[in-house]
Amino acid sequence: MQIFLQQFVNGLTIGAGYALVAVGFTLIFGVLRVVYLAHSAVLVVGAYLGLFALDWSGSIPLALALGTVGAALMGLVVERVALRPVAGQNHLISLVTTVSIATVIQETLRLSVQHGQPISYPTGAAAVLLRFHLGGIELHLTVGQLAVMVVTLVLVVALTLLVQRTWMGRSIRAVADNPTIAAMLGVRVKAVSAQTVAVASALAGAAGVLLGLTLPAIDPYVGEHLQFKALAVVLFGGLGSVPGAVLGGLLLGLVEALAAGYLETSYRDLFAFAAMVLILTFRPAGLLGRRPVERV
Amino acid sequence: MHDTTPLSRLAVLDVQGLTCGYGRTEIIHGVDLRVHQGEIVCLIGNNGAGKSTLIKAVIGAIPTLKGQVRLRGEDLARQDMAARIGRGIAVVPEGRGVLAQLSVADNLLMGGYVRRGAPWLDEEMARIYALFPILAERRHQAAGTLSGGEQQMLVIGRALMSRPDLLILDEPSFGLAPKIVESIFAVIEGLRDAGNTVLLVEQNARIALRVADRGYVLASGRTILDGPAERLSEDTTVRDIYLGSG
Repeated sequence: MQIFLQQFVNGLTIGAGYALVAVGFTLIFGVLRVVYLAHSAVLVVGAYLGLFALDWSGSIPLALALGTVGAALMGLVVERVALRPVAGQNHLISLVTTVSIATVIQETLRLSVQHGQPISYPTGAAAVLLRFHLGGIELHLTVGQLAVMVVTLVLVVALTLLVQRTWMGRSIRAVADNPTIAAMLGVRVKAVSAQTVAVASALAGAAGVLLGLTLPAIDPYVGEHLQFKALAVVLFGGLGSVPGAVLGGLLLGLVEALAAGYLETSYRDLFAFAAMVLILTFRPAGLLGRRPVERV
Repeated sequence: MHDTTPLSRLAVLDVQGLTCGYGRTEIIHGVDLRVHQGEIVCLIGNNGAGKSTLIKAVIGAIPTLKGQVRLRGEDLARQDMAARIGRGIAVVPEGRGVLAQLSVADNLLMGGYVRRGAPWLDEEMARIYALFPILAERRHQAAGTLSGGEQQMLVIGRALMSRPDLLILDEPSFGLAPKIVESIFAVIEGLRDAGNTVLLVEQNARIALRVADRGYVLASGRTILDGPAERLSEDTTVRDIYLGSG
């Protein structure tokens, strides 16, 4: 029970990061319908900005704010440079343009910040270990892990409200549903696309800072692995589904943590991906997917 | 109001010498068309006559090669589609065109997207629910789950949400059972009584001429006839080609 609960909490922390990245992916896929692989680079921009803010001020909220805003702006640049010029063209083209700009961003960071050496977030507040007693069981949680869970919860709730209750969210859903009809209702599809990338990038930026708070160190390529898993999570949760991405992210984190806790850390990815292959075999549209996604 | 000659009334939509098409292929060759305040004008013609292309140029979905499109006297040449919709044109697209995964309520709200923030949006929505009670009943349902007739009511209601100066209906009878078509056209007649200005694009000339005040007949990208609806329905060409011989 002790191991289960501890790994459950650890799994939620890991899963929260996957969820934040996956939610952004699913928004971008839903609205722009492109293959988008610059998310890891945008995340890393957020992680480094958070690092600078934390070094300078020691304030976690400030680090989160700077990482989020900075990543959103980076996302707008990526949209303008790598997506808008190739809109409507073959998916392979956006694949190449987004990978290219991601590489430019990551290499720029590598060459300009400590030669790309892994850097640790200043251990301060985030590393403080909290002990919780639950009916005789002692659970360990760092302040960083707690921050991950709280911030993710707040962001997911905020995003849900944005998407469901605001005009911006409504226009995002309209474009995701049918861009031609949305345009006939007076929606500027290009502007909505840019806003979608900015919102998704803000979440990735927050995920980058949260990652910095929980990982031993970050480097310019720290987001790559996460991006790949988030991509799987998006399919697994149902392409275009925000709740699916959140649920998928948390599940993946839990499977990984439990596999690591009960078996061996090196089995983690094997179990995580085996679980996804199984689910996709039986539910090809994903956990919460409603129908096949390809629309020509 | 019907004894005023149409030309003396304010033209809500004034299309002059419009030439447009796709790429270098010209489909519409210099069409003139006017819709005055409070009237229903129908644009009839066979499949491929260029009706949809003409509408696309009016709303700015494709560029105008020559000629002018004016809304309440304002030249729309420099306005893109979003700006034209914002200036008071609402379109009910061909083949229904609900936002299938959005709820009925969200579809209606999106009709008011260009008037977001207007204090009367809720009031307008209540009015549309009163007009189409079935939509109120299904307000939380995904629009894609409605029947064909209900979807057509939804897109008409959605187009009314912005309180448009000009309502363009593109083939509202398309793919609907005759009974449903009757009820949709009863709604369209009601729209005029409520003071709306309507441009009705229809392949079904018989029913279009029945509700319209005036009409234009489009063939191969040119208007070959125009005039009051009663006169058009008695015209021999129209009778032979578009109404069968009836």
